Amino acid sequence: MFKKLRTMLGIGGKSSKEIAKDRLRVALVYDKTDISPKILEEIRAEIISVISKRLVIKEENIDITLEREGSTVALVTSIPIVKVKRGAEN
Amino acid sequence: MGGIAIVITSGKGGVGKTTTTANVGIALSMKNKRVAVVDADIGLRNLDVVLGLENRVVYNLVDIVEGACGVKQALIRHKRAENLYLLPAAQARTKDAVTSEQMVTVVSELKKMFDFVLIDSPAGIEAGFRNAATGADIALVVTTPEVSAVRDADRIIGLLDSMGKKEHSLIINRIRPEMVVEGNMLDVRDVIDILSIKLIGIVPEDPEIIISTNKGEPIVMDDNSLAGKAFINIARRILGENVPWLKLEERRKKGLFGWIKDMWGK
Ligand SMILES: Nc1ncnc2c1ncn2[C@@H]1O[C@H](COP(=O)(O)OP(=O)(O)O)[C@@H](O)[C@H]1O
Ligand SMILES: [Mg+2]
Repeated sequence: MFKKLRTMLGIGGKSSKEIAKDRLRVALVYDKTDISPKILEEIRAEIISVISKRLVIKEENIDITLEREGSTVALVTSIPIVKVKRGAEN
Repeated sequence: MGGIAIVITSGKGGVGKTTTTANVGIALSMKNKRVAVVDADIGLRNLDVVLGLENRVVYNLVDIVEGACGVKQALIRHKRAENLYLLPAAQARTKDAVTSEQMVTVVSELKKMFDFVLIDSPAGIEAGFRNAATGADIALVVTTPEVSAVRDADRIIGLLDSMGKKEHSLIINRIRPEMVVEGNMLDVRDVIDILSIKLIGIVPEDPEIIISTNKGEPIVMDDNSLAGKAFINIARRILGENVPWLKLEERRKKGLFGWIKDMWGK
């Protein structure tokens, strides 16, 4: 009864439907990333082409992965920079 | 020319595909449309029982594709809904008894004879689902407001898209308004947010459905139950009518006093 009152007043933590919704959001993104390493490869190529306009980077060392972080799925990458391209500041 | 073929599908089993096929089929027939309902769940035939036609099955879908009878011979006319015909599944066979191409042939044959052909799909994402979906122009995806069912619905929507079946809408079945009010059940908005698909029906949990299934008389046929209305509304939306959404919570309105009593009561 008190638990119900609390969820109705919107205090004291998430209701079970909010938990369900959060879990579903993440699960669906994650389910889809499971099936497409191809898309990840395309994203990788696109990121390289955008960044290469400004920076010289070590393409071979770029690794892109998906990680579950709390209630979201994150695209994680680390891009080693060799140098800034001349004129890239403008 | 010809009718429209609609597959009723889901991914997860037991969410209400067969119940929906029977009720929406009858509702369409009550609107003076000629309707064929096809049980594509080969080996686990159900639709005949839900419609109360189990004792009249002679031929079935597999008999047609094997040439044992014609399409017309296998159709069973409903006793009370005279515009409704059932094409039963085979019970003692497995799903591989019918190929995709054969299914398409049978469905297009039916489309010549009927305004609507409703195909009750088996659960799952394998051949049985694909066979049921290939011949369809439109898909109705059924889910309940639960994590596993919604997730499977998302998978099915993806598969339908990849099959080129882009015309699909969602039915959310077995909604329990009292649990939604308590914050313990995903509501319609939550499910639509997550699946981003067009909504065509919301159906409450209703014990009358079990009673009507016991009798073999789909709920749309008799009373004024809320679930029956919900299925009739789906049929009307299929026919292009703009029907307002049922207010499922309305029944619970008991004023402030009732609400407080309710709170203390639990
Ligand atoms: N809205 C509802 N309220 C109560 N019971 C329901 C409802 N919808 C379906 N059921 C029951 O749930 C069970 C599974 O339904 P069914 O239509 O056979 O699912 P499926 O064809 O997807 O496997 C049946 O016993 C049916 O009577
Ligand atoms: Mg079924």
